[in-house]
Amino acid sequence: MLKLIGVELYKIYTKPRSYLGLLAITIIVFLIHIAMYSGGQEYLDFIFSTFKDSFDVSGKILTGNLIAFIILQMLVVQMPLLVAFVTGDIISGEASGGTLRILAGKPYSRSHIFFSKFIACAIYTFVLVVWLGILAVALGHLLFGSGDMMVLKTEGLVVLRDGDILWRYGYAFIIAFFSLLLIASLAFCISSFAENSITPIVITMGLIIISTVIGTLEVPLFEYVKPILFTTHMIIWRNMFDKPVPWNEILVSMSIVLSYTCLFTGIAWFHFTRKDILT
Amino acid sequence: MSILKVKNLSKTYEQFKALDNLNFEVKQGQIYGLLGPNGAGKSTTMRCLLTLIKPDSGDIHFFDKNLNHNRKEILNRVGYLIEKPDFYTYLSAYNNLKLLSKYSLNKIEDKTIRNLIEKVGLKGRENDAVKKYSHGMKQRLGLAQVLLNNPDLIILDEPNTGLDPQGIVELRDFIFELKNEGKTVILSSHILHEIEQLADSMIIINKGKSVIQGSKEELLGENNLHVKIEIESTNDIENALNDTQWKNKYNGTTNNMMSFDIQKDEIAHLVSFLSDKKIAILSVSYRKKLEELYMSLTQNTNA
Amino acid sequence: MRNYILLIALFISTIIIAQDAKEVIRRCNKNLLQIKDYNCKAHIDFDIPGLNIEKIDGTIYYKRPNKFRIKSNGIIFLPKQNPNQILSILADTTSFMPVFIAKETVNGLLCDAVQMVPLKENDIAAAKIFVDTKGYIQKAEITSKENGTATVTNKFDATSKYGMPCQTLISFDIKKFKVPKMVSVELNAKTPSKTSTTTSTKTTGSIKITYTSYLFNTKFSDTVFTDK
Repeated sequence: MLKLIGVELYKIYTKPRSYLGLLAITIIVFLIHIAMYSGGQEYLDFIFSTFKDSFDVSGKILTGNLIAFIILQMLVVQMPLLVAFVTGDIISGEASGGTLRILAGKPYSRSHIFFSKFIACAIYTFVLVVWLGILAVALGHLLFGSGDMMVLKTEGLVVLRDGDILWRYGYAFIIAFFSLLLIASLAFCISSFAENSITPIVITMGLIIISTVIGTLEVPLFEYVKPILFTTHMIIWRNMFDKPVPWNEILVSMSIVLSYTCLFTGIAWFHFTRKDILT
Repeated sequence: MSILKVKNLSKTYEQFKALDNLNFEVKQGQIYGLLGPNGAGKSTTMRCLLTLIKPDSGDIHFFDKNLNHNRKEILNRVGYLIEKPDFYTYLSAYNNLKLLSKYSLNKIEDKTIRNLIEKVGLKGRENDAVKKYSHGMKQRLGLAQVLLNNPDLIILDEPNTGLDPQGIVELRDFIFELKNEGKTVILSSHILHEIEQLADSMIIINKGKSVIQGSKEELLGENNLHVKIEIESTNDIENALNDTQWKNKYNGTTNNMMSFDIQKDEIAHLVSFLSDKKIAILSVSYRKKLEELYMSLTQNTNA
Repeated sequence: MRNYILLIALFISTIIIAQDAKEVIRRCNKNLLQIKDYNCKAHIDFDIPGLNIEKIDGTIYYKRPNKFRIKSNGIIFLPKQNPNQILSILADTTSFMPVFIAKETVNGLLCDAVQMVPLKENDIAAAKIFVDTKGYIQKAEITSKENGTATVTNKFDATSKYGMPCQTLISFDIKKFKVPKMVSVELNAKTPSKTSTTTSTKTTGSIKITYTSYLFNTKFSDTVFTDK
């Protein structure tokens, strides 16, 4: 199995499209850093205007911690796309390329092939998250320095003290990883049904966008649907920056995220190990 | 010794019956041809042999072992090239083979890969990305891939497709070389001539069923010909043949064309007999009986 | 004739009230005007609805007439009507006229309540201070045009000098914050119920500042007000 995981990682490593995700993250994060460096104060004045009207706010607001948070928020839509870009292609790409029929006739079982691919996807997702973490937090601290962090909430504001932040990012990135793994499993699932690379990516992104829109609209009808939408739970990383941290809420959401991941992976496995390979 | 036994293999796609109780057997060291028009079920059969497709019913035994229960062991002894040679186009030929060697249960040495590259004539181009390869080069790489795990049985699905005449000759030599090395080869084609040149035994499949099967001698020997004699007039033909040895070998006359199933050395006697009966002969032609059968199958399919 | 007598009585009483108020301010300034500058350690506790912020330590710097800064390693929220404004109001005798109102008990001490009426256009609409017999400001109410009323309640101890408190509690009105989801990007936030009982848009917040280690008139550099 380890040998097959190595092979799948080698494929990802040598495939040019794998680097598009890393490149896109790098460019987006650098652009945000540059934008914040040049006009971040105006942006923050706008964002925090509700509070600045009522209070004299002193202290450093534009900190590496806050920039990292803003970057994480801005990448809510982009990161799933980048993950789906690679994971959505991992089975269907081989099906359309004709290489799947070479692999499926080899001595290793389809389950072995399936899980080696899935684990490789998980590792790729992990690398994306770590890379994002390095760029957002480390580069943010390098450029803007450390300091307290103001977290804007719908019902107010949370100010986190400098020494109370990094551990939260640690957990937030772990949560973000599992959330993106859900996306990977969804794209992977669709990929096991599709026979071209584009369909899984488009369908995955479509589902994310629809689910996000339903989750954002404040329509009474949707209130009943929201708790079962996976996107509602995927952004639970944000709650790591609440005070106190709502651990129960996070654990419930993470359980739902993992359940969805298992469901999508299970469906994909069931289909992949039984389907006729005709491509 | 039997390398492969296929018993009552059936597969249906929705309404379409792709395989219908197919039976055949391949002996060790043979080149076995699967012949049939397009859509006859050749590829489906081959995919079933490689577990790419799950048959609805039937048994497949390789090396006297059931494929379902011994898949891992069996497929480790099989090399195959199904349809066109597809690879990871962003990788070089060497890296493709290196990567695919990891799917074997045996440890495949780097030296083996280098030797195979040389054997298929890709030395010097092994580090080029496959996307830069011509179809012929990909086919050579495909053959190298087939031999990666030094298989006992090789399955080739329409290996000639897209090759130029020289490529076809080289492939033929390559397959004979494999046979000489003691390997068993199963290859499919929709072109009778190809199979005729290579195979020791063959099966003709049509609509998922076996039409005819046997050794090349049995099926394509010169003792079993289909002779057509063009005559000027069909008057009293039936009477002329009555009570003669030719009556049972006569198939009828269509458009002044008499048809007989006879051996090659009987042709001269038949012509002489007809001349004696004052029947004016315009032309005589013959085909091997299997060829005639296959032509009719192909024409029906194409129609 | 009766009307004249009434007018004269009113005029005399106004002068007396004004003189009383000025006397209170003088008593106050007797302490405060000795301070040209000061700095001290401050420990600040926040209790502001909608603003979840932890206590913080810092250093306060003040220089007459109106230079004020709290320097700390973190973010500090203070209401626009902060205690420093009282010092500025008292120091600016041309912009505000003191009017004696009444005697009231604050923190168990009998205090003179004086209304500081703005004479010029000013953001501060009114300020009321409660001064004890020592000239210490026990309480102040500052009403600004923009931000409502803040009440500043001071505590003094034996070490208190120049009328500077050892603790200040600032209570102030605050509007309930409501940030659009698209601005907060809190897409998974639960939508508040329309029938919620907490529909009031106004509420009260407070900030408690505890002062220690006062240093007066050390003539520190002005750069503390401008450096980062």
